[in-house]
Amino acid sequence: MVGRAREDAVTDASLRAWLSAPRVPASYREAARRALSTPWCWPVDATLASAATRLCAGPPEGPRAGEVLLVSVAAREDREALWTLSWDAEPSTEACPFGATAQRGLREVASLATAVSPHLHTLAPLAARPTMASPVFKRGRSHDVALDDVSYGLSMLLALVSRLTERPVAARFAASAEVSPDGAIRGVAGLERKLALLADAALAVDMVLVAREQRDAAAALTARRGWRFTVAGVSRADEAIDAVFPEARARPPEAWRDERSARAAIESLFELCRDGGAVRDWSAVSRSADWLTRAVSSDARLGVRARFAAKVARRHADRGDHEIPWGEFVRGREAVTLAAHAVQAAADAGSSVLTDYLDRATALIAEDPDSPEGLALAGAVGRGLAALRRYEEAAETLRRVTRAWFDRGAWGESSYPLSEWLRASAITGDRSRWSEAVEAARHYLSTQRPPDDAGPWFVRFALGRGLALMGDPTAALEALDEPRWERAPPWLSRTRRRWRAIALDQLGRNDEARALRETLAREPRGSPDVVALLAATDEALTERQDPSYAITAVRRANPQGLGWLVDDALTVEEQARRVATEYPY
Amino acid sequence: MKKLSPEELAALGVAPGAELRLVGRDAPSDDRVGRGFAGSDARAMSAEARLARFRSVTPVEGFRATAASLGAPAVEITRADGTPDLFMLSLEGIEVDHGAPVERVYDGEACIVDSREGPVTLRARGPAGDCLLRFEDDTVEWYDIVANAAALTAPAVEALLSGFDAPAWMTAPLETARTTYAICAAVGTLGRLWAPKGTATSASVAMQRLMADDDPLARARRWFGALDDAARDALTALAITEARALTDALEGLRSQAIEASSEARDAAVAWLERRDDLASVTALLGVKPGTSLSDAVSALDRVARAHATMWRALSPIRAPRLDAVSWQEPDAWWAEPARTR
Repeated sequence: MVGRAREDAVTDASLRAWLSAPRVPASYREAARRALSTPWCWPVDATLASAATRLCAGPPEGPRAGEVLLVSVAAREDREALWTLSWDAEPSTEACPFGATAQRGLREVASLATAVSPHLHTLAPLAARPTMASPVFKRGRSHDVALDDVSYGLSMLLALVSRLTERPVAARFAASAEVSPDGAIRGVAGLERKLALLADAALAVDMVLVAREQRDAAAALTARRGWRFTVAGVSRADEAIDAVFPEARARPPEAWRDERSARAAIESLFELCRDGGAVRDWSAVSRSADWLTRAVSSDARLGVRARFAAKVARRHADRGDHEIPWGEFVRGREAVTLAAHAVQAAADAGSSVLTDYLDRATALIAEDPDSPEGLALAGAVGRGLAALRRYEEAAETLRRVTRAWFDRGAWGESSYPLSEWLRASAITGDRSRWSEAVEAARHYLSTQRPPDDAGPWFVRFALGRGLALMGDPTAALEALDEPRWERAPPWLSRTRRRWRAIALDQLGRNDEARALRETLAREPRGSPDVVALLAATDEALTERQDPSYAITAVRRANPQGLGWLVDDALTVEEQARRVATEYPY
Repeated sequence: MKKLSPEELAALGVAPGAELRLVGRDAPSDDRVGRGFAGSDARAMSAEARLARFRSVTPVEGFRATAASLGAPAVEITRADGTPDLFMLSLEGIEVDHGAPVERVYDGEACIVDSREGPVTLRARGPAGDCLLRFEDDTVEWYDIVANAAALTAPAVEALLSGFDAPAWMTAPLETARTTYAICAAVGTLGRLWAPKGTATSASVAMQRLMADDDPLARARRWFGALDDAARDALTALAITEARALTDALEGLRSQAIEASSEARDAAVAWLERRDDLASVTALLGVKPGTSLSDAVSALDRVARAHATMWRALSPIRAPRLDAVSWQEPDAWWAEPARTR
């Protein structure tokens, strides 16, 4: 089954018609039984439900979390079908495998899900993607040997978000729309046939989500044909998610009322926050952490883990000051790993405890300097030194850590110290140190990374920023103009645009730089938006205007990492210059 | 289909001498999966497992017209999608005779035919007629049973041409025809389409024979006029069956035509020549409007004309017979693809 679809000739096999007749035709009785064993086909209409009980004992359970209905049409034959996509399903002989395009769609929704999921406590389902779907109902000639298309995108995303949030998608929902990597919802072909099949066989479905661009035509068709569902048009993935999971931002899932589920969720959440991951919206993790912290207030060990996770998630989410007190959290077998978080949080918060934490961390590292945990902590120490503006020490520490990760082939871990090594060495202005860091960055970027690894974006950004600082704006633009930034974390993408504007100014393309900064200022963001304020600071410096207003606004916002960059002893211009060139994010 | 032995026919209650006329055939399309085929797939299967295979089925669409002609329009044949040599025949309004045992399900509302271990032949009897069903591997064929079709002897080619010569495409079918329908179609074709163009016969000699009512068409009509009423009735029944079979075959032809391959073109030529055979038979029978045969042919032509896009896609078709029709019978729509230049 592929994307090109015939719009005509809908075949006439209909579960609704069969149940409306005195009895289901013998030839289709087993097909009807199978459809009625799934929650999407069990009729909401009482008369039809009564007829259904003649074939099946009663309404089936479900759907379970991670399960959705898929609708397919054959491109060149009169054949339409319904399928169950279950995110946790084991492969079975009866199921139909996904083709290459559908598999790519699964990877893309896995990348998008961390940006749009209302809450998040684990990334494990992102890697454990389904490979096939199970048949529910089919009509028309022959059968499908593969499911392949982009039109399953929205259904796949709903299944994954359902799995991630442990909230079932109610059987009343079906969807048919493409989801682009930036979350835009697009129309699909063959929608008339898909809606007709849903009307005839998915007797529990009362709302079908389609792309907004197809909504009016689909609604008119639905009214004309007398179909008994509502067609809802959505233009963004988060709209669709809010429609299907209306409570998901307000209260925790029902599943967490079960103590075992809540405990398991905390362990997953703790691991996610301890180890990090490709999360595009940490506020979703923060939401889970807040709920789970309240859920286990009576359990000391789990309480510590949940609170730790909450602090890490909040720090990533709002980029504000969220210290992780060493005494409260750095203990036990995971002390070295947790210490890295304490150091980083203190650095970001500009906390006076940072120097003390660096000493304690250095002592911990000495116990096992070459272990992965020791290297991770050494990386955090390097970033802490940079926060204190001890850039030469920082560059040397980060160089050593990056090289050690390279030697281990641990490219995923190397991106953190490498990015900061690039920043620190560029700020020192030492060409020899900078060249070595650039060479390491080029080497890193030449390696194959998984598509959902955010590391390359950070390294590319750090390279572009460093090139601009080192006076090579053409190369900086080249690094910052790499494609596919739409999948980068949103804040990084905005910061990249700020540094593009700086490079454009350096090239004398001031109008383009001004226009770019205006787009940053106009985009609706949370208040205050630090990137827009930093861009305003850049502009004031470039155009030799008074930066007082901009730098005052930046200091009032007090974003992560501002710490030791500014103090009242400096002139306003010096503060602005430091913030513009040294601010880490 | 393998010819059924007299014993097999007798077991199904088919009278000796009855002619089985193929009405339709259904085989699954290839699933486009390359396989290693390690051996037979005919594994033993429990009754429950067999029934479960019918959770996804494909109806044998072409059989519906035949079911209607049996007087039992609700009767359906469905194929299990995952096991294409497993069929279900619903029995609403019909009775079946069978040589091999079949498994009845749903208190006799339907039967399952498993042709994985060998062919299965059934005779279905409805209130308005009967037919023969033959399941072999993953193919099902259905036949009209035309009773008492007296065996005809085909006339010699020379008896129709009487000294004229004719192209091989015109004479060869008559030399090989064995059944009533095929013999009459070949005789009618030679009569309808013989012309001096392209032969050694001059136009003036042909005209003399025409004026003397001794041309091939006149001779063909005289041969047919000498047959008895039973033969005429049998031919009428066979022609009706053929009109329906041609109608059913159109859908498969349309699916093939999408590919626009040489196989599709060959299949289209074969179908158009069968339509021309029907014209030859109706020319001999002298069909009157309002009869069953006239209605069946009109229905066929109405459906076939609706596939104008398909015929345009396949044009131009080059076939000597259709070429002859195209200039001799301007109203014959089935020669239109050969007429396009």
